[in-house]
Amino acid sequence: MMLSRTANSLFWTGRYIERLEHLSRYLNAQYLSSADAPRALNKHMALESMLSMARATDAYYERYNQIEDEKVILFLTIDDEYPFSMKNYLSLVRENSRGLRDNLSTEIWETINRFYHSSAKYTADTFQKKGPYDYCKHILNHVNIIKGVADNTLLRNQSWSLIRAGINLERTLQICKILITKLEDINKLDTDELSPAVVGYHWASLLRSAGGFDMSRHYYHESPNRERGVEFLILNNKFPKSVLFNLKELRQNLKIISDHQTVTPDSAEFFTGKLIAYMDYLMIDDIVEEGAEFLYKLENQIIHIGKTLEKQYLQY
Amino acid sequence: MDQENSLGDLFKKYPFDPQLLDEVYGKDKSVRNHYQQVHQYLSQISLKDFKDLIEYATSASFDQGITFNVYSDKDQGVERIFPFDLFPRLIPNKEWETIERGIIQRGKALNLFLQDLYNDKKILKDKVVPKELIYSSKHYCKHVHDFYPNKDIFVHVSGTDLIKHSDGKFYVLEDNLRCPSGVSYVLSNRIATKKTLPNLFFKSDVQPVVDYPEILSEVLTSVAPHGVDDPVCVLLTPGMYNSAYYEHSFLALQMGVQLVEGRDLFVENNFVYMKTIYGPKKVDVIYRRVDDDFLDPMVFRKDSLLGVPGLISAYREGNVSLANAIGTGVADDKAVYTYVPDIIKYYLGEDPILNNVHTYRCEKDEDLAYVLDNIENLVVKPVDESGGYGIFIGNISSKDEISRFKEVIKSERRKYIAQPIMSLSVHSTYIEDTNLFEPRHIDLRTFSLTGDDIEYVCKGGLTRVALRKGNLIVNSSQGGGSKDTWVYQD
Repeated sequence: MMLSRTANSLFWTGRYIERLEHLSRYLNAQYLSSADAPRALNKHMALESMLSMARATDAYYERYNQIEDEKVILFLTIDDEYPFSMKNYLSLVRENSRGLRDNLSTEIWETINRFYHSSAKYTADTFQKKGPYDYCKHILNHVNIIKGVADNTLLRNQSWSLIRAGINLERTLQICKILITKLEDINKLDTDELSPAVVGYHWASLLRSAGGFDMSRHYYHESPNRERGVEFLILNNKFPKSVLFNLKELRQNLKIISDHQTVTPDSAEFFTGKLIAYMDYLMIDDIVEEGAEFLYKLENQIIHIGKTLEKQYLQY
Repeated sequence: MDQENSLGDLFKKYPFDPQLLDEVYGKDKSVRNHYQQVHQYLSQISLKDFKDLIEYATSASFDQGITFNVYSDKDQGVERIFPFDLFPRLIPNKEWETIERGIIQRGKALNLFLQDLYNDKKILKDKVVPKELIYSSKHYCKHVHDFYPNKDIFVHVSGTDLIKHSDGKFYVLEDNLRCPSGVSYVLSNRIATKKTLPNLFFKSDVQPVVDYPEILSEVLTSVAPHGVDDPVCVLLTPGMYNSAYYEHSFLALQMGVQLVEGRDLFVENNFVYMKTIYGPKKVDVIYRRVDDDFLDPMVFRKDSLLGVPGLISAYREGNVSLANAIGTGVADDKAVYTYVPDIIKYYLGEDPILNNVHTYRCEKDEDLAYVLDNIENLVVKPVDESGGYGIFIGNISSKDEISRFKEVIKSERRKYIAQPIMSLSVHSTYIEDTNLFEPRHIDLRTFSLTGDDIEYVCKGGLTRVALRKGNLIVNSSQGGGSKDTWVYQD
């Protein structure tokens, strides 16, 4: 029997962990790729892109007048005051799991607690010396360890499915955000600068940001382009970061959370199933044609699923 | 191994004080019999290895989150671990048997006392305990008048603090009958010893402590409301910002029960429910780690957000059991404590197995006179505080402080008791600042459980160490540390 408050913490632990993973990967990929980017891309653009993907642009400009790399990076990573910095997400993950001690294995709590304490060594000085790479790598490594420990130690019950549902839902949203941000980046470029090399570069960097570069090459045996990039990240049924893959996993997890109760038309299970049915018959050309508009709509539908899930199980 | 730096060499430099009762060494500084094996084992460890073990134990505690929050200017607070000394405290089985019998006897008597106080009041009518003392106690609770908890048990969980005096006997310092904490440290200290000194531990025949959560769980189940076959038990915590939160989550996890906060519960038609993902679920037994005052805003403090409105009414109806019962605090009032030997005689017709420390009650005229005349040799304590707060120690206070404190006592006589400054035994303890083992004062908190047909004392307990030289106060909130406590099997 699970408390609603517990369910809420489990779900959001999953979401925060996933958000951390995508933020660190995106920052890392953008920062590294901006260093040896083709002429048309500069560091400034990479920084803007980071802020935009983290939906932190407005908050940043409330604090600072202009974009400077050190400021942007510290703001998104270890800023104490900005509530959505990675450091604060990490604190939330830890606070949540501290409140969940009786639902989690000792192993997973200790992993998260160690992660929290070991992250305290990163200061503005460290970033000056090493750039964001080391920090992001640290976050990514630990997030992967946490997921592995969770995978290996938790019962496959409601607790597990709530964490997974948080991860699934957040991942689909993060993938949408990455795609939207990258499309915006590309749209900012002058059309005559859009040589195939530059475009190819962008899609490669996009796939890297989503952690899917190697596997998309493996899947298509071809360099990435817009169609292949979008199809891989939205519709692929085998790639664990694609939107459709995660929606299907989410549907499975919701079944476990609901204890296989009958699906009613106002439930998260219903909206998820409906979205999956629609996407199963979607052609990649339709998506590309609609462009960012499609992604905004998709994002809204996923947000709606999240809100319904919260109302259904987590409110108390 | 570098002989220069073995613990054996450090032991030779031990500043033995013949004035104090040393747990490890006898009067002639020879190692006591029951310490021989441990002493010899530790002697062979190099200081460097020993420091590595400390480091390892510390980082393990840190990873496990066995920490206190020490709040400073910044919101987040600083996390500290409860210092843990690797040199264990050993108790021979024979000594332990006396302690155990004494604690069970005390528990029985106090439970009968509480049943009587809130119902027939025979002990007051017979003038064994003055009724003014009871009715003026801060923790006396009128909401349990004419009430017997399920299975008549008031105190399910108690923590009795003992010291060993220079006469070699154990004395009871106080009974903690409300929400005593610390048992999680007993269990985690044991795990730490097993990890750091495995060879020593497995060679020694030490009684287990690990059964505590299991017995606690049985106790809770045994006091479920009448007619409930498969009771739902929960642990009620004030939340993760409480300093004992680690313990709450630890026990809930060990027992496999839900860790709930007040906001997770509600009362309907005098039944208690928790809010779950599938709707309300009835709760039968609550192991509450929330003080009486905060349990039910409809009865106690109106401003409390920690409790559950209506809980007391459901409790009085017998629909939910609380461990411990409400109103047990009256029996751990330090002024009532002075009557425990009489209470034991009154209800059980037996002599107390464990001694009380002689206690002067400032509200009695002759006692007050003695206290004021001899305050330099006394410890004066408020009757209703815990955690070592408000304690006045005569022999370390200045003349000014003494005369000011005398006024304080005179203005609130009911509030203060005084005891002779007991010479707590000392135990060899590693001190980081000096790189030496030094004698430090210790006490022992024992943990006992009472259920329907269950009487249990955890074989070991928490040995608390006053880490500052000469200090007698061992509370963790006053900078104390702890030791694993081994009760040998014979």
